[in-house]
Amino acid sequence: MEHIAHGLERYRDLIDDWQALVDTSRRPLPLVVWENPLRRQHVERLAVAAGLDRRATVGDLLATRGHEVEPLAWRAGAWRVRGLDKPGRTLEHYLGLMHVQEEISLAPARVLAAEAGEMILDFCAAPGGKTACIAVGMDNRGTVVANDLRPQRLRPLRSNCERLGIRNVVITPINGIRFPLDAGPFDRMLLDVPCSCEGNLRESRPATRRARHSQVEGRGGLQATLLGRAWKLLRPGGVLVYSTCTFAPEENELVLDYALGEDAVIEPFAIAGLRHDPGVTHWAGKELRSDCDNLARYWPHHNDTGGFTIARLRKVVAVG
Amino acid sequence: MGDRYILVDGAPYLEWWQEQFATPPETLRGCSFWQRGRFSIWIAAADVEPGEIAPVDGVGIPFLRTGREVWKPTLVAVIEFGLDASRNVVELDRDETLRFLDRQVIEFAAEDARGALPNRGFVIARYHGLPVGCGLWRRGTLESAVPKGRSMAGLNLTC
Repeated sequence: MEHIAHGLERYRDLIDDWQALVDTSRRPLPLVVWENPLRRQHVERLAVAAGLDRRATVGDLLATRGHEVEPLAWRAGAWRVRGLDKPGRTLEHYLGLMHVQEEISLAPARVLAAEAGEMILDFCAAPGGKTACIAVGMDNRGTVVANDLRPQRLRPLRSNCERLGIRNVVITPINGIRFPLDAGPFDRMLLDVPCSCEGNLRESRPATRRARHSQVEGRGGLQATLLGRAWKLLRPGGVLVYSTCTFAPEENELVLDYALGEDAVIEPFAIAGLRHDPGVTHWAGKELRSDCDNLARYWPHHNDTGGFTIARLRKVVAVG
Repeated sequence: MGDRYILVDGAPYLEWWQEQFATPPETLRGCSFWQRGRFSIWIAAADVEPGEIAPVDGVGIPFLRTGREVWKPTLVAVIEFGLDASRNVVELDRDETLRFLDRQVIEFAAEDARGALPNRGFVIARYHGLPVGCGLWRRGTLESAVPKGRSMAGLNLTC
């Protein structure tokens, strides 16, 4: 059987080291956990019970049990852990002291940089890992509206927020296309749109199959419609992070080029310790907005993660 | 889905919690209280703002069920606010904690000082001082109230 990475051959010109990508995609994803900053007192108490210093972290607790623990290069309070087969069956997980999440999925919250007390909208929030990541960074102040169309996918979001003790999340089960415009304006928004999931190629049931490649072009319409609606809910000066777990320019640059007007700027950004490639300004014979090169495309072989694409957009404040 | 969340005066629920578990006043400071349906109280950030969005399917975390004769704190509330409780608390050893998380009933011997809790009612079960859930205390027995969906047989407890 042809390897799943071969579904990505259309991007060969964008990839610096094709063989490295193929090799990486054959390896399973590292297990990554982050410590819940809202539960610092609980971690302290467990650390003391385990005979550690009270400043010990969840990473230290796991290390004392013989797991190999490596801090992430780009984010404090998160670790790659080896030898932990069932993280959901630990006291740390039961008590909400930690959360298991794919490493690259932590990046959108970092780029969004929500602050305590702000009004945030996570437009396509389920299953909620990114919502949790945003909300715990706000110290239980302000509001994160976590919206998703599918109520059954909101269940894990709800149970994760409850387990982690997140008190500033409001859950709404609304079709984003019809999200009420008088609900805004929001200071910051995450729009992690439904996509063809090419970046999941290292998961146990990867979405990248040739049969699904028809979705690359088919999704663009919905993505642009959601972006158009979201944009109306963002306050002038506000930040919207557009992300996909896919590589296709049809679901990233082309959507932004189509949906954004002159009141939008795609801002440059970089996360120290997490390598990305720039976006494209030409694709399939089409010339795109020049600021599309400020997108960040995360290839699996660059950081040993899943694949992801992120754009940070700012709504320009009208002058006069 | 579809139940409304209504902002309510939290004073009676705060008072009940502090009376029941003798937590310091600052433990629940900076919270707002929301009612869903007739018997469910939720707790959220003080400045949380659902605005004019409808329907809403969750505000903060569930705190208290008031439908029965005896009010019942939720598992998440006990874990969140039970660290500094000093009344109606029962400390469990490792074996008891494993059985508690497996939703079993734990019996205390007559000479066990922990069996001297005065009231029939919900108590906070702790392990090494960490709240692991609430249980119904009745004449020297502790009936685990860990919800089925959160219960665990054979948790990996190493300390």
